[in-house]
Amino acid sequence: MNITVAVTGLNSADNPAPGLAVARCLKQAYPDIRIVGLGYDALDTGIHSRGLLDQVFLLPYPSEGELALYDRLVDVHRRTKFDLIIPTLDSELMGFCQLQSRLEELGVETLLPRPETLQLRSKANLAKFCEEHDLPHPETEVLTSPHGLPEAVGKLGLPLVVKGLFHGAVLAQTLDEARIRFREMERQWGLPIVLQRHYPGEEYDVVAAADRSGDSLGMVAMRKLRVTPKGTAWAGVSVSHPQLLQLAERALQELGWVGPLEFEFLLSERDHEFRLLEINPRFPSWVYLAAAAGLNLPARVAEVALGKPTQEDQSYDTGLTFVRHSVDVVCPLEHLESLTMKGELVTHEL
Amino acid sequence: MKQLSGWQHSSMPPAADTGFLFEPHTGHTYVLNETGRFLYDAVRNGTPPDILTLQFAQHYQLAPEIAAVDVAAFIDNLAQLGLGDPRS
Repeated sequence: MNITVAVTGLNSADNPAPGLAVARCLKQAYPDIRIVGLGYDALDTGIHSRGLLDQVFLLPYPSEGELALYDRLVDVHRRTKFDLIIPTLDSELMGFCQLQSRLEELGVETLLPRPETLQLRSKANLAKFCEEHDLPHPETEVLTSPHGLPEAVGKLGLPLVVKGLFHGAVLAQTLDEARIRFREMERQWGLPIVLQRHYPGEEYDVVAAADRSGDSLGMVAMRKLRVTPKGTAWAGVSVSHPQLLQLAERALQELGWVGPLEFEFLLSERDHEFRLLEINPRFPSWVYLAAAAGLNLPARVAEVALGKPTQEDQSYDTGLTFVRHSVDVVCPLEHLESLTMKGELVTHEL
Repeated sequence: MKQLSGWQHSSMPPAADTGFLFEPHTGHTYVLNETGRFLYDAVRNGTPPDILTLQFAQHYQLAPEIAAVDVAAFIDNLAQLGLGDPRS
């Protein structure tokens, strides 16, 4: 497929952004594809990886608003045409969802939900969505001020999980610790803060994607084998628990979702029931496991977005394991200079 | 003792020759020793507990009453681990 795809989320650090994994999936399906990486900082680690990105441009941070994002995308598109953009960061999704029609006018396709659908699954709204559709989930309180913490602790018990609006989930063992975690999350991600009842158990994730009609393009489940202190999977294995996949399929349909997403579930060791912890509105950083298991969802998203035929087979291999590791990448000073001064880097000469 | 009637033998994953066992629904892995492998394969093939007890006693030259206790404990263990039944 002779196309160019722009991918965001290139910082592959201790909480890896999914951009490199998406690029790897696309390159695996279509070795001749051109990938334009869209980063935010000259030291976004993935910018300096070899063999995946043909060109890199820096974007304004999402906090600068969708107008700044659009202007920069127009500028990038003028320099190097791209056919499709796959955003992969929670914090930038709303901007891209709101720009869909303007990007289409520019000749850039997307496969994304409507902004109001995006809001349905936000951390602050997830419990309401689950209650309305009878999806099992942990009891949740959403707070805009720490004054409500004692009452929330009374309802949810201790320990409880304190979650930021976009990222981060930490366990608080006491009310005092909950106050500290609340402030930390507020500083990093703003308000509101989400509190969830803590269920000891095992974590499972499901990556999925849906076409423009909301029909599933496939889903792959993974059990986390090793987790970082930030809760990020550092090793995992593909699985096919029927109850897990049925819940994910039902949630996908109830959302009326378009594009990629990830479900995070917890299998409680107390009652052996799955509970839906989060729905992330983009591919996860472990999405390459799905491609390796036989379901290349980024490739399917690209095919559907660009009106190309795509495979319908939704089977995949279980028992495939991924393990992450860190590598030091050495790059010449000219790369940092180009990114810092011009906001771009050509890694593969055209 | 867990009765084998209704046990979902067909959904019990096969153990590798080394005794390594991967349950594809939950992603759990197990390691079976030689006797565990003997019993697991027999249960997976649908051998009833009374026949399995006789086979186990004969193969390892055990007293039948000791073999019966071991077979019952093994089958209970399988049930607790949810092996063979993805709903548990």
